[in-house]
Amino acid sequence: MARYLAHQLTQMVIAIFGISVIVFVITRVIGDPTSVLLPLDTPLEQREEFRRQMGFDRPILVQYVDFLGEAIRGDFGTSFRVKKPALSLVLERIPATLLLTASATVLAILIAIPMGILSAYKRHSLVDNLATVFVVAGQAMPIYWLGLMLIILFGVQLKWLPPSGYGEFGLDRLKHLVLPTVVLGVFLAPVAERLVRSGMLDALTQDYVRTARAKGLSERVVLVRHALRNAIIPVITVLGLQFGQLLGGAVITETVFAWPGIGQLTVDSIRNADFPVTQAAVITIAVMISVVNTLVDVIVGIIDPRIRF
Amino acid sequence: MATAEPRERVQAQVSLAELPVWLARRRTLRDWLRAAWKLRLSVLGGLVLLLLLVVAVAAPLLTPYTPSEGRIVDRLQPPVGLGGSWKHPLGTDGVGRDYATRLMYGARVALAVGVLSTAVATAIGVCLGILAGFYGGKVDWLISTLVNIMMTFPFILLALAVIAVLGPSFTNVVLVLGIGSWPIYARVVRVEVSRIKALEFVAAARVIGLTDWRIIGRHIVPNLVNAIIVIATVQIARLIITEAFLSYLGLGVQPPTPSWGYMLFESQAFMFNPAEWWLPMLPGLAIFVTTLAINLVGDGLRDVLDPYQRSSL
Repeated sequence: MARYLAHQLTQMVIAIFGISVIVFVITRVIGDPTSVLLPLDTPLEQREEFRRQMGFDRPILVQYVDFLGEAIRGDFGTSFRVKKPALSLVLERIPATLLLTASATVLAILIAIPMGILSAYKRHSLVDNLATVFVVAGQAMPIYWLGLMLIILFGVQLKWLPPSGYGEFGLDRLKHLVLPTVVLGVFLAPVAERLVRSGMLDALTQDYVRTARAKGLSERVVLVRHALRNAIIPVITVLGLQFGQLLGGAVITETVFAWPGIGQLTVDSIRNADFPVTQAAVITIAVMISVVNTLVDVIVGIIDPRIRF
Repeated sequence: MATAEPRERVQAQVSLAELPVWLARRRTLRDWLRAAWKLRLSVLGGLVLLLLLVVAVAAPLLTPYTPSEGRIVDRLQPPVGLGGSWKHPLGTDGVGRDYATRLMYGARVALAVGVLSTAVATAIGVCLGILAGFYGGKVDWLISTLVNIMMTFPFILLALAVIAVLGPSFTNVVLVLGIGSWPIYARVVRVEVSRIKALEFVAAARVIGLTDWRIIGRHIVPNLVNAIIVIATVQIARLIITEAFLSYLGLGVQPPTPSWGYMLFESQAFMFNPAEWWLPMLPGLAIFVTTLAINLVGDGLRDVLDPYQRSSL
């Protein structure tokens, strides 16, 4: 286990390091920070002077090592727009993103488990076909459009729910949470449903299911206690490894609903060329993904004693 | 009682080279109809796609209007059925441009970006996948690590960042989407190549003294084509969705070129008018129908070309 953990941590460090290189290249090498920081009509000499002051004229490798050293200490510089440390701007957005991704995951699982069990149990039945329609439509769905349609239907026409924003803590927050959760849930549910279905299909052919039936256990107990329990492990693993994709969906959902999470902040910072915030946000997201992926591996290792490292 | 034998609707696995034979074997009309019925959803998707292609190519012939000019006095005419006239069957937008015309021209951008960026991604992904799978060792480690990093990180963020920095344009969007989405090909190709490499016919080819390039070109690549086609079809749909999101943020193909994503962005201004709900609905519906049709075709191709890959995607 210790060796396995060490391996995972090494992978994690390599991944975060890789992302830091990519984001540095995008913001510093392809992009020119001075073009954002200085007015458009700044004369060339002043521009050069400014580049020297900021250290942008040094060799790119030196700049990167500097950037990395400061990033490790949590110093990504100050936001160009709001005069605050970039990292603290990013960190204060994390709870909103976690709230949204967690509630969407719960919704997706609540859809996927019953649907997956039923469509595996009654193959090629009406339920199974409906589930397939849901999966195919869900995977083709541009979720930002789904979000706009839900806003128009429930926020503008029916006025049942607030169209966007974060709301006040409490019931108001929950009302604001409903539509984004549905959108992100629809993004995640098709993948989860297919995983549950194929896991159940596999489990239902196993000997222990036949034994359980032969013992005279009810179908319900056989399905949930015996088959689902084994089918669920790959679902957890894959969903955990899909956390990055889920965050990608959250970026889109947060943008559409003005949900003040880390995704919306990143998109805003990119559109405003606020490079310190972009760098801090992208690296924070990479750290979040790596931590979740590693946790999932460890948890699965604990749940399933067959997996030994 | 549930029966759960591993069976899928279409069993035949056909390589691309055998496809004409597979098709030709269906001699009678009845055979053809039976095959079409088995793949009915894919056939439907294919027909929709064909229709879209015709509309995209023939747009100037199908409409008396241009996508970028409108009469401001005609602005916000509702579609037929919501009180509009046949002069503008799908209504007009906020500056009086014919909505149907803009949707038709928008299909050009969507299909072009989808296909071209998928081509870029396929080219990069297949080459790197072959390198990693064929040579192994350090090359493999480097490429695999890069693939893992890119596949776990939400690529939409990096795409946004690069386009924001480079400036939005058709070429940049195609390149960024292509460069951002190659890892899936590399991952699949790498596994396939290292599997095929161990087979006897490759060893035989080596014994008779063929060069690496010849082995790759003549013996390995032909065995990859099916898997690549299946992935690429699904990827076209995903990249169309992504391109529209970039345009929706104003970072995609730039106006006056009409794109569905940008139409969605423009229509947001009217989102809170209870009467104009159809403005944001139509471009999104166009995206949805297109990606749905492509995915249905993709499912059919997977059934015919590569049934074993069903669960691995």
